[in-house]
Amino acid sequence: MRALKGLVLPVVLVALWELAARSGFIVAESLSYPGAIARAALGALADGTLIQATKETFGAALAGMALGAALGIACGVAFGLWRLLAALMRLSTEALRPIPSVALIPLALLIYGFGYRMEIAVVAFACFWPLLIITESAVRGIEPRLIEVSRALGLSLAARIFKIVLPAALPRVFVGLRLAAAVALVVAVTVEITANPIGLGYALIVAQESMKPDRMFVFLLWIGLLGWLVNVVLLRAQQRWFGRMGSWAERR
Amino acid sequence: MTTPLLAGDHLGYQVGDAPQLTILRDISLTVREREFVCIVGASGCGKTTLLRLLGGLLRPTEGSVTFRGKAVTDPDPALAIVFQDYGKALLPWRTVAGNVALALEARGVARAARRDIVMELLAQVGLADRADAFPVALSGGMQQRLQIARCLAQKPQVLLMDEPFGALDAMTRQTLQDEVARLAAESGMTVVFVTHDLEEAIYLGDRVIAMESRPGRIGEVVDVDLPRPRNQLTTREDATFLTLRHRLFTLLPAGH
Amino acid sequence: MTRTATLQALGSVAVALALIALWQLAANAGLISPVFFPGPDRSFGTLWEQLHEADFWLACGETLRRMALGFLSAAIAGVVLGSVLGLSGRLRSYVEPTLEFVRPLPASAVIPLFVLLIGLNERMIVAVIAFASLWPVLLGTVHGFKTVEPRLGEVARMLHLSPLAFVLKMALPNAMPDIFAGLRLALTVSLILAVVTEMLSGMEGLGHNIIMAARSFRSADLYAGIIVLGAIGFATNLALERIERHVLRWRGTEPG
Repeated sequence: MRALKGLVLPVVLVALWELAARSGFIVAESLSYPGAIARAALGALADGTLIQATKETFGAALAGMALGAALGIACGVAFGLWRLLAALMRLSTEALRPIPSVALIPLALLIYGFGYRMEIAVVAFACFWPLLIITESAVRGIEPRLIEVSRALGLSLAARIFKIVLPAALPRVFVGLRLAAAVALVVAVTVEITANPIGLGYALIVAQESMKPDRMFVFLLWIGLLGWLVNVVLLRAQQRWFGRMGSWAERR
Repeated sequence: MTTPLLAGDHLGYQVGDAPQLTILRDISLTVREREFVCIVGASGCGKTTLLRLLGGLLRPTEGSVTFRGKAVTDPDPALAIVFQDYGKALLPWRTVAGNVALALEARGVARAARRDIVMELLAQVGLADRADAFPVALSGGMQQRLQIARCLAQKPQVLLMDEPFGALDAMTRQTLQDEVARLAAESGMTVVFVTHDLEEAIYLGDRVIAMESRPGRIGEVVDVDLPRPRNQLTTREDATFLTLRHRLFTLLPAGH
Repeated sequence: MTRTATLQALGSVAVALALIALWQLAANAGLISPVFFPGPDRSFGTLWEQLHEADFWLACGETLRRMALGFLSAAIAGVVLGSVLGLSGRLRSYVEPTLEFVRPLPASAVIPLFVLLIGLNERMIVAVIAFASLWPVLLGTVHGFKTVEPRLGEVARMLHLSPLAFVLKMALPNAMPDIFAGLRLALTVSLILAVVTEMLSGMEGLGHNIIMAARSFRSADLYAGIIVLGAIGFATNLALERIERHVLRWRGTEPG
């Protein structure tokens, strides 16, 4: 029932749009309309550009997220376990954090030129911060008793981190990963729109610049759909594996 | 015989479709003016539902509630409800004085007159020195007193109290019991007090209505023949008190 | 501040300075290419020069102006629309699924659409910023209005508060924390979109400055620009946080 209600608005909008274009109310050349967009979608699928661009964007986003998240989690664990380190690094992190990741696009362009590496670099920077903050907070929130137990058992540092700290922090860290995934996709597309000639963002700009609004809408809606799908899939995974914000090892 | 101020006539309350759950069955009670009536029963017997019916927050599926002869279908400032979860019934973004003022604003009291009335009410509940504090800074007992002050600001004719001291520690509870008794006596307020604590009910009430559970119905009604003002120490050791306690104890399920 | 806290703060300053010193050493020793990694002397030096140039302040002003226009219009629209949606469950059931779809959409993806609709000009930039900043505020406001404590609703009914009084005295203050959370996000978004649109449109602004610096290999200018953008991000966020802390001072001290 809820799904049906939710479809009312989009269906009505699409219908109105189609009507407005057909009746000449809006100029179909500049704005396109659902019918043309559907056709363009099939075209983009058929000539492989949709799939290719998706692969490129996903590839860069995934690689960037993996890099940024790995570094972010590592630093987050370090900051969480050693307060002194976190305190000493406070000014440096607070100074670097407000830098908008998009401001680094020109820098990455300068260093790496066009291609995957510059995009991965910017995405990694963007994904680093949420994971750092969330991991640090998650590690701080671990039931102190668990840490004491790990010490009492005489576990090595590596064992402590991999067997106790990371599993305990995992539920919250996963939420951070979900966030980072959304960020990675957004930043990747933004980099492609602004500077990098690969992927869905670039296809979007090309469509607009070559005056093909129907194609532009195809990519725009596809990007939206992907973002929504990624979020839904990860949310389901989170609920499945971790219940409701299951912070199983956190301090009460 | 004086006409009852507040009355419930063959009240019934059911929820659900299939199976249908009967929470209250055939409850009739009357509350006379200036009376302090206590309703006591085990957890889950429906006493809170009964209070909400009396206050107009719920509509009975059977029977009716009348206030001064007129049917009660919706809440009204004349029937002030003091909730058990005081934290949720207060506005955290307003000061203590601001919370009390809310009732005055609702009544349409002129802005200029509000401050004096607020301070007087706060003095009555002993919160005059915390007028500019926010609820988050107050203890549980103080927050409950604030809620009571806010209810008094409504100029109610009946005070409906839903296990108001259930979430407080024993000492605070005793202090507040005496305060409520004092406030009721001084103002001549009519009070309906719901509790699961038998001794509290006997200590405070002029009359105690004991409810049975599943479904909720009236078990026994006793008049409390103890002199006022009551005392936490002596009254609770009084022979009449103990007799009443003994009599009602057997009515309520074991270990309530 | 406690003694340890002061020492740690000083320590973090020392560490930051040490890192900058390391950066300088690496640049001096030629370990990193001066084209890609100018040392702090050149970067901060260029920044200092720029601060004395009218062009810089012009560009800065343009960026900030667009941010402000976009952010403020989004804030107002977001709160108004969000309050309506938040209070009406019925409207929400029709609109929320669409909102859920738009939320993950990268705001920069709509830039080509806006260019087609409005053209490559000033209005497009502000429109894009406003569009992108709208969603966090809208969603935050909806959530804040959705989650009004039901008990307060009952208090409102009991006091016979008018619907407007309920919205202004209960729903809106209750939604404030969520609204501010949305505003903080919107602020970050507005800065990002300002930079992106400026980079794309070639119009005067900080975003344009840094992409031009990159294309002409003026790395010191680029670094200076990045520092300025970071500073803007920091300062605007700080200002908003101060406002938030004042408006929400009733929350008391957060638990450590």
